[in-house]
Amino acid sequence: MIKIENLSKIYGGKDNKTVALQGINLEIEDGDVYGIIGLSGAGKSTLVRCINLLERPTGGSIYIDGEDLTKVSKERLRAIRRKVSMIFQQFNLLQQRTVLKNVELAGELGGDENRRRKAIELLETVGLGDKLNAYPSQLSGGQQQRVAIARALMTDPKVLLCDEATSALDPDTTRSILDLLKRLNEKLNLTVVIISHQMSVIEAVCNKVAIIDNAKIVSEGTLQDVFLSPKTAVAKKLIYSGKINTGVKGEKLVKLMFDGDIEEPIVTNIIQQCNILLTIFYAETKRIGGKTYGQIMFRLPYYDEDIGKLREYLNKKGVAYEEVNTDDFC
Amino acid sequence: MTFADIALMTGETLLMTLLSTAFAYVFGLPCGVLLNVTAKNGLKPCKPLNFIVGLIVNILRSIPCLIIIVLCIPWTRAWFGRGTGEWYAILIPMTVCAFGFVSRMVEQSLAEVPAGEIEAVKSLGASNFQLVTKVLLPEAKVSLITGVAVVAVSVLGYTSFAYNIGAGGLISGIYTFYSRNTGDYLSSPVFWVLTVIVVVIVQLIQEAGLKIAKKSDKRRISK
Repeated sequence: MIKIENLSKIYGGKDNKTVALQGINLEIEDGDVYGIIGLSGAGKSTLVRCINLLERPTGGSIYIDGEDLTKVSKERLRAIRRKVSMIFQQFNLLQQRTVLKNVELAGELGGDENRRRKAIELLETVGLGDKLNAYPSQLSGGQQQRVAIARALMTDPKVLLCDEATSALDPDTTRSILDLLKRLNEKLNLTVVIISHQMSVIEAVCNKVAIIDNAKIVSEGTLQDVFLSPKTAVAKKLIYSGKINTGVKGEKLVKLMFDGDIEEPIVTNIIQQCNILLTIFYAETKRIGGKTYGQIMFRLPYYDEDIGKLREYLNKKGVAYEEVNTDDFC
Repeated sequence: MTFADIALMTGETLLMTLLSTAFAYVFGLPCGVLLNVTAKNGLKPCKPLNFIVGLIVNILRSIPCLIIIVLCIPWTRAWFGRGTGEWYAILIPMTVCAFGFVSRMVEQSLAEVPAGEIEAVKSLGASNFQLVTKVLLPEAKVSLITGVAVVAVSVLGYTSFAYNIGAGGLISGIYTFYSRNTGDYLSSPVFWVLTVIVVVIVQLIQEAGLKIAKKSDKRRISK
């Protein structure tokens, strides 16, 4: 388990202080696929780099299985780093080593005698068994990230930190890398921490998510909670950005939330049974943990006449809803 | 001047150049690593050490080579029995001259290694020593090899000063030839033959350096 307590990181001296992290508290359970999402400059990369102390925090503690990383010796820290591996946006493979040698490196550092056999096995696991003697420059981005994942797995880690690991990849490749991470999570009970600025990445694999904004965690919870009812402005921006017409100002909307249990065609019923006219403003459904979650936002052309009827109907049916305003998403 | 004379001078120049370059790297390579490692963004920043080593390197680089040669005469005499008159008399001063240059070249080559690669290997639990031997030096290999060629060509240039302490070699041979034939040296084939040999040696060093560097470069291979 990873436990972060009151973590802070401040760059610079007295005059030009930059607060990168402030009062961060997080708990990541074993086996979680934990997403940390935020806009550029929010501090998410600094946060993940504090988890293996690539970045030394200014204050607070990071406990990995109860051991405070900020207090251990250098030797112990190196040993812990082998249990908390990391992959990066730019892959960071050694350019002068072949794929196999890159993966073997992790074993070389620890004097592992079986490293060659293990490296070959891992490269086969990530689907690159035929590229052993290629150099990184001969591989595509997705292939390079697979090598990086194999390298990270050489030390039998309990945790894999992914710092924007798919941000340099196209959507298809992103998908396949995320699938691989999910598979490793299930097969090896590997705890995965994913840092990203893209909600789609988090949604695809994470079971829990924290939103970081301006050096602080602003919301945290299961994926469905954060997705269905985003509370903060940043959360809304991350979830709805690019999907909602932000040009419309000051209009009242009704948002329905489906938490996977409702089977009936609710929108059709609203129109037919309540005789209400509506236009759909935004709709999205997602599969999270085998259930379908969704939200629909719509506009009522005759709002004042219809809203009463609608509230009554939704309350009767037990559908979660919220009355929102387009200004909330701008 | 006979063929044997020319061969001897060529041999002397090659020995001076290659041995001095090699010795300069024996000391300059660790020193360059030290400068890189102790720098502000290095593996183990240490401002005082970096400052002192940097200062020594800078001082050595700013003293003109000829002065270093003169300063080293007693040292050479103590080690080799005589301070002038033989080709090896120039080894110590040449090494001292090239040492600072080599240190800076190495420091610069290591600085080109992407920080992300170092960080990635650090995250696998590498010690600083492992980072130097497994990441910094191997990843900077191409730049280091090109650097050796640049240094060797410069050292070859420094061997001009061999004339001043009678250490021989091609360049001092050319100058001696000139001073004995000041009136018609330009029309003498000997003068030109010797000059061409120097040019050819420089070309060979440069080309060999580039070839080896290119061959060892795995960063840009076609897919």
